[in-house]
Amino acid sequence: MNRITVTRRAVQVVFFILLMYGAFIWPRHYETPLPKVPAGVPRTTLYNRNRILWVSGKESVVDLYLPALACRFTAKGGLFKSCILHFFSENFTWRTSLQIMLPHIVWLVVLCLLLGRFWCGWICPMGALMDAMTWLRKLTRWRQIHLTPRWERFLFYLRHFLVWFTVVVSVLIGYPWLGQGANDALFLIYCQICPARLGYPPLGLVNPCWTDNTNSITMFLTVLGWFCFGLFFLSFAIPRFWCRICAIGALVGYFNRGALLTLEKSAQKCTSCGTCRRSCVLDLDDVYLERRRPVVTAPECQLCLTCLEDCPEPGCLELKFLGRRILRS
Amino acid sequence: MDELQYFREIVTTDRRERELAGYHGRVVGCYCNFVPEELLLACGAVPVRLCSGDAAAERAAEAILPRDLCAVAKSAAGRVQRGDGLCGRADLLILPTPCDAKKKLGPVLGQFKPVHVLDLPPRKESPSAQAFWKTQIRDLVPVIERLTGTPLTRAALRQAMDLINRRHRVFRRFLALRAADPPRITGQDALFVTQASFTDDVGRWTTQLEALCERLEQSPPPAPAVRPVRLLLTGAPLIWPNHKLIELAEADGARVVIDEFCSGTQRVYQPVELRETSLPALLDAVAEKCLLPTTCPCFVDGTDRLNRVQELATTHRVDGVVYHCLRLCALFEMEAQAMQQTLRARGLPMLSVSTDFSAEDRGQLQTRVEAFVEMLRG
Amino acid sequence: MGWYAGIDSGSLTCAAVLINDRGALCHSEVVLTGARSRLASERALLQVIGKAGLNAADLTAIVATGYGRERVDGRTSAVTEITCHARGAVALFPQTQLVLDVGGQDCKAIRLAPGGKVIDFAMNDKCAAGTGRFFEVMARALEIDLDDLGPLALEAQRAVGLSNMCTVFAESEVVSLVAREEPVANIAAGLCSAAAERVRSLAQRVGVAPEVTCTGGGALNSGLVRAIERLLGVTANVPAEPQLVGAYGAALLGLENHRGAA
Ligand code: SF4
Ligand code: SF4
Ligand code: SF4
Ligand code: SF4
Ligand code: SF4
Repeated sequence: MNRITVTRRAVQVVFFILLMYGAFIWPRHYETPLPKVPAGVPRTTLYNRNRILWVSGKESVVDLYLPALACRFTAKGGLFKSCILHFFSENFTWRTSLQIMLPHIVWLVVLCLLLGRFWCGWICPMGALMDAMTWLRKLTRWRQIHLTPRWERFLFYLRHFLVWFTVVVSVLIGYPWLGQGANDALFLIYCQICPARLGYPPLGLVNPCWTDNTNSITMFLTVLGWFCFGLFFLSFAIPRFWCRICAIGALVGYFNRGALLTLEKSAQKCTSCGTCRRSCVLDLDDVYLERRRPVVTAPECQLCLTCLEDCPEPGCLELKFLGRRILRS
Repeated sequence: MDELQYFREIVTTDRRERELAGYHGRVVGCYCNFVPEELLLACGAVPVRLCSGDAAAERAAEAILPRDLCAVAKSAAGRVQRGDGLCGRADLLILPTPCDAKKKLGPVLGQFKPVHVLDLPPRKESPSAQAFWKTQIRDLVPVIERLTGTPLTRAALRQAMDLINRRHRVFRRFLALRAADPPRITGQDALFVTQASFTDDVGRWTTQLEALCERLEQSPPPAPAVRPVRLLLTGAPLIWPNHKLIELAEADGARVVIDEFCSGTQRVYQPVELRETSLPALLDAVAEKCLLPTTCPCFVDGTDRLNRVQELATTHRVDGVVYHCLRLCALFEMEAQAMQQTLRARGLPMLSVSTDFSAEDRGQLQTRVEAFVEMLRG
Repeated sequence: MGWYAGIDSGSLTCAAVLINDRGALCHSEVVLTGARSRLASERALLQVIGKAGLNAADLTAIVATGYGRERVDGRTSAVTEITCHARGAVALFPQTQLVLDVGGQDCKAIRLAPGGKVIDFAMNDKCAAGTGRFFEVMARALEIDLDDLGPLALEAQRAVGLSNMCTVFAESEVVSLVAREEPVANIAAGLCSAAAERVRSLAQRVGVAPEVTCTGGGALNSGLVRAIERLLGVTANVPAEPQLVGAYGAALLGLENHRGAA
């Protein structure tokens, strides 16, 4: 019974510990060298260490990024360097040469193409935290709240807006046009609202940068950060609520349909019973509705496989990797 | 076999009527499969499905209904009018509105019994239709609570859902016995099994079916001289005593290895998962279970039934499909062509027959069905 | 030497044939069914074995078909007329893809795969329109002999349209057409094309094919056959004695069954 869920919880716990406390297990103490800014490039790349950089001032154990919330702000630097969006943000702003970026880009794209948003469903520590909240809610017998389709649509636009807004801002502030103050304030813009920035450090018993009153923009972003951190706790009532806003997830979602790991449905076996939709913590109806194409991994699907586990029709839903079946309902 | 005899007895005799005569709680008569039995059970009422294939009741109803009306609607009315068996015992009738006949049946039945009409949306896949249906089910709750005097609680509903889920689990085990080659049970006996669930106590039915499965699994498989032709029956429901078609289909050594009737397989097939367990979530889950997986042709889109028939034909290794149209029921007849085309594309022969509750076309029907079986035998 | 009998107990007539173990049709007999098909089939069988100078014990198999197949005494098996007509038609015209059987009380279209296996069939509902019974009634209304109706229809200048195919209504319509001095040939042609329409819609349900064989008593009506040919755009095979095809097929099935079992 519930074999998939049990396995998934175990995997989530393991990765939570690895990603959050990996740097405690394999400590690696050294200060990160500041990135070199080539001559002639304006020094817009503000290193307001207090506000933005890793609280511990430590570099990660592994010098690689992940397509999940492996965060730069993890205590002691964390096991991996940071999330995929952070990678693009800082390097676009620094105007890092393609030569340096390429290996990382290849690594990230390969990870996304291999597993799609399996990263979200099974590995992201933030996702695990939200699942824990849902578990707590069920334990205390609170009701689940469903978002109305309007809200869902709004959040859909919001998260994709956040992806591209972050990219555009990161590129723009690589140039001096907005002026030093604004450029400094807008560095790593998405991290300012990401709940991981405020949420992860305390889990490693370090204090995050709660406020930054450098200028009006940073103050505004501070408040927005608090607000989003609050939103994250809505996940208690709305399962995985932050995932519906998270730009990292949205970015990885672009790879979801083309990923090698796919969720497939046999339309003939499906009775349209709607169980998969009820089971889905993200209220996705793609699995329930699809009638023609076999692949049902929507861009939002985190491959948590709850639907596969609950589908009452044997063989109707299958998890496939490169066309080979791994699991079936 | 005694285990089988039990189901036959429930369907063909007045055993349930006698049992419920001494019962002090409320009995609620339901039609179709759209009424959430879990809800009734949780409030302490006994749900009984009153759909019937009784030709005499059908003729009796011609006194109060037009003659050119589908036999299912007419016989339902006839039985209530005459106060037959459990129709007389029922304290409330819950009538869903799948088709025009059933829609207008409400006031007719209302002359004899209190009736609660459950409005069905014309589609089942659209969000607004589903929202509407969920309100229909939520609105049913106070009606039942008032009738039984027992408020609905989360625990009771969960318990009832568990009970029904157990029924579905055993039934799926039973289906595997029909998929076996050769099938371990005739199609008609299987129809008795599912139809016993119309009126029987849910727990007892499940236990009996478990015993039957055990017995069938343990007894050696029958060894017929020739491999029987394996048929799938779909279309308008055959409801006791209207078993004419299945009798004819199996008379010639063919076996109905699976049916896709709302009075058969579809009735006890669907389980409900219990992930969110707040009362509203449970109610919604039950509401969806009663609507979404049904294959009743009353909805605009008939794809689900096409898929279902194809899937059952595959899993039960069927040689041919017999499609039962009930005269004056346009719904099934209109879906027959799409079914024929779909099945033909898969190389699966289909015979469509149109008949009613009377016995007068038995010869005609027999020729068709027999010729179909001969054709499949090749 | 083995003998095999096929009995086609239809609603109007009952045909019996006798074939030898090479499948050759040796003797046949057609009697009117009347009210009791049991007696008719018995009579037909007795007469046909009488012709051959045999008695019932000499028969290896007696296969019954047709509407009254369950009421044929002494049968070794009963097979539906669909299988039998298909078998008979294929024996006579091996290329047959579509069999159109116009019987006494119903019509059938039977679609065959190459090799003669039935793959689909359609029958009209319980209604006599366009069947043997229908033409019998109409011939009476036209005051002509049933056998003349077909040839007469072939001579018509035009076919009159009939507004209703129900035997009862069509009969009164024919009567009034006769009263209006419409040439009998034209009315006969009208009846034939109306009946052919029915057959065509059946044929279309199973799929029209170029190799068509007409069987059953209706195929004796040359006007009807011509009308069917025109509507379907084919040239139909018509056996010399189409009313025997069902019984012949039944006897052949008896023979094959016996061979298969041996
Ligand atoms: S705060 Fe969020 S966006 Fe920034 S590095 Fe951490 S996980 Fe990535
Ligand atoms: S969408 Fe959710 S699970 Fe995925 S990276 Fe964002 S927070 Fe983590
Ligand atoms: S749970 Fe399975 S059978 Fe039900 S709708 Fe989803 S995919 Fe189809
Ligand atoms: S669709 Fe299925 S696998 Fe995807 S998120 Fe929803 S429950 Fe998980
Ligand atoms: S087919 Fe539909 S309308 Fe008819 S009895 Fe079944 S559920 Fe009711």
